[in-house]
Amino acid sequence: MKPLLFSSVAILSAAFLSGCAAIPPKELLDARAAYEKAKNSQASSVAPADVATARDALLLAEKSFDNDGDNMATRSYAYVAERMSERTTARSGTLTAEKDKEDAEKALLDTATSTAEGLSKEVTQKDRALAGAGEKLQDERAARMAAERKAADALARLAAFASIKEEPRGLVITLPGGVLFETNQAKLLGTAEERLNQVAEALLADRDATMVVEGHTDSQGNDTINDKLSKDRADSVRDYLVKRGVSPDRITAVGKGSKSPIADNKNPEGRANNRRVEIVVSGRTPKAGAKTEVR
Amino acid sequence: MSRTYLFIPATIALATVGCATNSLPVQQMTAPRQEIRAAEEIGAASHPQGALHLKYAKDQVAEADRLLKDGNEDGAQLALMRATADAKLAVELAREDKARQEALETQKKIGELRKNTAVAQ
Repeated sequence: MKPLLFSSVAILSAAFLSGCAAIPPKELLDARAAYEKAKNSQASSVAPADVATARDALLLAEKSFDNDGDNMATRSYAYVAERMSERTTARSGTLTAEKDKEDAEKALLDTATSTAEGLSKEVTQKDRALAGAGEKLQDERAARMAAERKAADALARLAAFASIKEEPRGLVITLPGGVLFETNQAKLLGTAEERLNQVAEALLADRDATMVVEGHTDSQGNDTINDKLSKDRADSVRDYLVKRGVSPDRITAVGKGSKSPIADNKNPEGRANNRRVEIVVSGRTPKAGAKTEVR
Repeated sequence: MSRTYLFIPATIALATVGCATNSLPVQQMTAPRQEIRAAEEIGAASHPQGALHLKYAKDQVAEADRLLKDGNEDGAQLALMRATADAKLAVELAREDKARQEALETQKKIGELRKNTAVAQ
């Protein structure tokens, strides 16, 4: 800073001294102004070497003016000095703009990077959500398939001692009375419980189904007794199934007495068939194969 | 014999003078022209201030040629010096203009990218 200040003083004093001898030409005045402008611009910090060169050029013009006064050489040196100062100012502008561009490129890269990171994060999150949903769907499907298989197995085992029929009123599981109860009793036999466990297992698989347990007797004895017995037996079966986990909201019990025979009451075989408990299952979820994707 | 000896230096002296009056050192003659070419290459002609100084440079080269023809070597030398200064200034003005344009374009790109990103999100 000091040498620059010193030289400014030198230039001013030179100008003052020469002022006595002659009037400085317009070119020299312009050169001085241009140099001041360059020196006071950012050039001093970004292009100090250019400022020094411009100063030397101006000093050359001043020296020519001091020695020879206002002539073609002095004017030419001043002209050159003015251009060099202007060039220094422009050079500082170039360097500043280049720096601005470099900063902008860095910012552009940062912006692009953060944009890309943001997008990739978003994609990853969506991927993860999709994968999670897929897994859940698969789990659900597997669980449903397992439950269906279990229900199908249970129904197959049921078929060994009960008849199973699809009727308009629903799926009808018919359990022979002899399998479940002693004659004229409503209390379940020990062996009956084992079998009802399998019924429960088959019914539990479908959470949407509702059930009606119907008690039926043969036509022997009077209706009052038969109606009560059939109702008590239905209740026993219902209570047991509830104990095994079937929701009480989904299962009801009715006593039909001897009013709905399925066989001839005239022979012992027919009467045995009429003594029965029917479990009517309705409102079942359709099989997975028939299911639409709409929920 | 002695006449011949006198004649040779005289010829040489004439030749030397002839050279000096008709041309300047090659470097001084070519420097402004090289700078003018550089200014043209960088596109100074399409920048208002650059074009002005490019014209000054060319005019002064022409002036130097004319002064040389008239035998004014000193004047020609000064004109060439001024021409070089103008051409160099034209180069730098064009360079500054170009750098500013590029910085602006890059800054514009950032703005566009930020805008597009905001729309995308």
